[in-house]
Amino acid sequence: MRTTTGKTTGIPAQRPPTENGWAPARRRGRRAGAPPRHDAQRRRMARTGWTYTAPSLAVIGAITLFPIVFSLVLSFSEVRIGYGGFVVERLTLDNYLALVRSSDWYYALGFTVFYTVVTVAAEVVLGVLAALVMERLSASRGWMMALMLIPWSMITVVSARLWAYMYDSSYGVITWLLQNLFGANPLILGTPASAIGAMAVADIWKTTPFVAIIVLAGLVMLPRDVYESAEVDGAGPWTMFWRITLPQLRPTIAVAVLFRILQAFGVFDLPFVLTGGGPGIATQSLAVMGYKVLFQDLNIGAGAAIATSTGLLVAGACLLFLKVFRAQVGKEDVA
Amino acid sequence: MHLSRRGLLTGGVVLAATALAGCGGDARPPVTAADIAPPTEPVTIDWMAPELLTNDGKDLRRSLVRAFQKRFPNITVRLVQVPPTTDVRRTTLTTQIASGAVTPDVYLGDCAWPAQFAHNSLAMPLGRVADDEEFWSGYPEEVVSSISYQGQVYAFPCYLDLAFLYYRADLLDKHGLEVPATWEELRRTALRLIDTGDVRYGLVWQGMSGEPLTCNVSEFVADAGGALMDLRARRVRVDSPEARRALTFMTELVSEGVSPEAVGTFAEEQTLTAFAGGQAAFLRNWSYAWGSANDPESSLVAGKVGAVLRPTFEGAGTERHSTLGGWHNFVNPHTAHPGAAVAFARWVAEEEAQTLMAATSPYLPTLSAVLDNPRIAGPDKPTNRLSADAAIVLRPFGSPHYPAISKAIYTDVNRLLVDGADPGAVGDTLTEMAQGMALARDGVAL
Repeated sequence: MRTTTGKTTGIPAQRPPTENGWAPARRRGRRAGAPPRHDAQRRRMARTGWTYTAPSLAVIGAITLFPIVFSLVLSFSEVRIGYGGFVVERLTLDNYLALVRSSDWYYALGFTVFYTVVTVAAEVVLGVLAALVMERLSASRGWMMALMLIPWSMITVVSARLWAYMYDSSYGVITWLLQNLFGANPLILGTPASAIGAMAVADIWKTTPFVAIIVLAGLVMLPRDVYESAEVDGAGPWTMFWRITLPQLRPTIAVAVLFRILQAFGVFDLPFVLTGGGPGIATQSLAVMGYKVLFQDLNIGAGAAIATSTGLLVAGACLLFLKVFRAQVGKEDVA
Repeated sequence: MHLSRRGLLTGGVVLAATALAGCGGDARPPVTAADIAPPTEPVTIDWMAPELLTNDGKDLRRSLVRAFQKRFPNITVRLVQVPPTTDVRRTTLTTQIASGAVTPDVYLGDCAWPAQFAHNSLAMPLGRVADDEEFWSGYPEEVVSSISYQGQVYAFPCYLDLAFLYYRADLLDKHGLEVPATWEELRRTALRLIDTGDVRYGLVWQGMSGEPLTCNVSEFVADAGGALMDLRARRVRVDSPEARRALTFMTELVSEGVSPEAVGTFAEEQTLTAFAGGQAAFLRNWSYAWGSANDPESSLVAGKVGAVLRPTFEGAGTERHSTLGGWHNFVNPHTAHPGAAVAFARWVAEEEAQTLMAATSPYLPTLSAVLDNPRIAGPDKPTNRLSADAAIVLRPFGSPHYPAISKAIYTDVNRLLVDGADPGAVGDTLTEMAQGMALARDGVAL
C-alpha cells in the first residue's frame, strides 16, 4: 500500500533498510565525501562493536532468549522432575492436544480476550479524558500527575488485597455502600458477572493513569499553530478534538494500547489475589491457569504449552493491532 | 561478523536442548544408614517453616530449635522465611528443589503434598527410617498413610489439624437450646437464632473455590456415609446417593439462609472474621480457631464460645468426621547434610518436641502418646480432648495428581454453590465432578 507521497505505509519515521544492523555506526565514522574505508578496517570496527555489545547480548540471551526457547522445547515434551532435574521422556504433541481438548482452556482464552478488550477500551477512553483535563491545568498539573500515579505505582498484590477488603461481602465498604443505597445484599466477588466486573474496575482504576500520562505526553507535543488555524477557520472544540487532536494522538495511543494489551493479556496478580480465579473458574485468566497447571499440578509440559500458546496469541494480536493502527495513521497522513 | 536472527534462534534451540539433556538424570539420593546417621562434626542446616505461635504469642519454631540444639549441640538450625500462602510456598519449594538447590535442608510441608512431592522427586525417601516399624507405630495410622507413597515414607510428622464445630454457647443458653448433634438439628437451631435477631448468619464454612472447599466436601460426604475416592485414590466414588445427599444439603444451607450466599467466597479467614465478629452462630474451622475466637483482643465473642466435633446426618451413624490436616517435615533430596537434616526432622516428630508443642501451643501433636494424654495439653483446650474421638477423613492425596483432583472437586462444587440450588444441578455437578476427577487421576486434566 502506498500513499500519495509515495511513502510506504508503516512507521512514519522508519529508516530505509540497510545492509546490516550496523549501518548507523559505520556512517558516523565517515566524513562527507571521504573515500570508502578499507574492508579490514570495517571488520575491525565490527569486531569492536561486537566486543562492546557482547556482555549485553549474553545477558539478553540468558534471561530472554534461553527461557523462551527452553519453554518452547518443554511444551513439546513429556517432562517429569527427577532427582537430577527435568527428565524429558519423549517429544510429543500431547500437551497441545490436551489444551485444545480442555474446556477450561477455551474459557480462560475467551475470558482473557474479553477482559483485555473491555479493560483496555475503558482505560483508553478514560485515560484520554483525564489527559485532556490535565493538559488544561497549569499550576496544579504536577500535583495531579503525582496523585494519579499513586494507583499505578502501587504494587498490584497490595491494591488487589485492598480491593478484596472493599468488596468483601461481610465487612467491605463497597458492599456496605450498595446495601445502603439500593437495599440489596450484593455478593460482589461471589457471582461470575459481578466478580468479572469488580476485577475490571480494579484494573481500570490502576492502569488508567498510565494511559493518561502517555497520552498527556503526546498531547503537549501537538503543534499549537494547527489549532490556531482551525480556530481562524471557525472550528469548534468538538471539531478540533475529532479532526485534529485525536488523529494526531493516534501514534501515542497506539503505544499505550500496545503496552496495555501486553499487560492485560498476561493478567495474573489481580485475579490471583482478588478471586483466586473463582467463583468456579469465572475469572481464571490464561496466566492463572498456566500457573495452576505448572506449579500446583506440576504438569510441566502442559504448563509450558499454555505459556507458549499465550505468548504466540498475544504476539499475533499485537502485530494485528499494529498493522491496523499503522494503516490508519498512514491514512491520516494523506488527509 | 554477521549474526542473523535465524542463527540466534538456532543457537537458542541448541542451548535449550543441551540444557535439557544436561539437567536430565534420575539418580536417587543416597539414603543409607550411614547417610542418615547424625553427624559428629559442626553442621548448619536451614529449616523452612511458617511462623508457628505458642499460646502466649511467642515463636514455637525458636523454642523447638533451642531444645533441639541442647540435644545436638553440633547441629545449628537456621530458620528460613516462607511465603505466606500454602500454594506460593509450594511454588517456591518446587522451583527451588527441582533446580537442584541444596537448601532448605528441611521444610515444613502440607499433609496433602507427600505423594505429589515424592512422585516429582522433591522429597527424600526416608529409606531406613521408614523400615523402623516401632517408630511409625507411635503415630495414628491415618497420619502414616498420609505421608507414604508407594511403600516409602516421605516426611516426619509434625502437627495435626482437625476440623471442629464452634458454637455460641451464650446464645444456646439464652434460648435453652442444645448443642446440635446432627446437621438437621443444626439447621433448625441456626434458623431460630437468625429469627431471634441474635445473629446474621447461622453456619459459616469455607465454600470458596479452593482447597478448603475440598475439605468441607470430603467431610459432608463422609457424614452421609460416602467417600470421594477409595483410599488409594484409584476409584472415583463420588457419583453416589451419599454424595448427592451431602451436596444437596450444602446447597440447601445457602438457599434456606442457614449459611450466607457469600459462603461461596469464604475461606478460613472470612469465616473466622464473621464468627469472631458475632455475626454467626456456628463455625466450621480448624483447631487454631479456638484460640482466635477466644482472644479478647480480636474477638467480640471471647469466652462465649464452645467447641464440639462436627455433627453428622440423621440416620447416618454416630461417627463425627474431620478431614485430616496438618504439616510435616520433609527433607530436601539434595541436602548436603542428610544426617543432620534427618536428625532434626525426626527429633521434631519425637516425644520431647511433641510434648513441648502440645504444652505450649495450639497445634495438635501427632505422636499418639502425647495426643492422647490430656494432662500434657491442659484442660483449657477442648480441641485436644475432642480429637481422640474424631473419625478422620482422608482426602485422596495418595495420588500424585491430587491438586488436579481437588481442583475438579472445588471448582464444580463452588459453581454449584454460587449458581444456587436447582433440583437437577446436584446430579449434573456430581457427574461432571466424577469425570473431572477421573481425568485428573489419570494425569490428563488441565
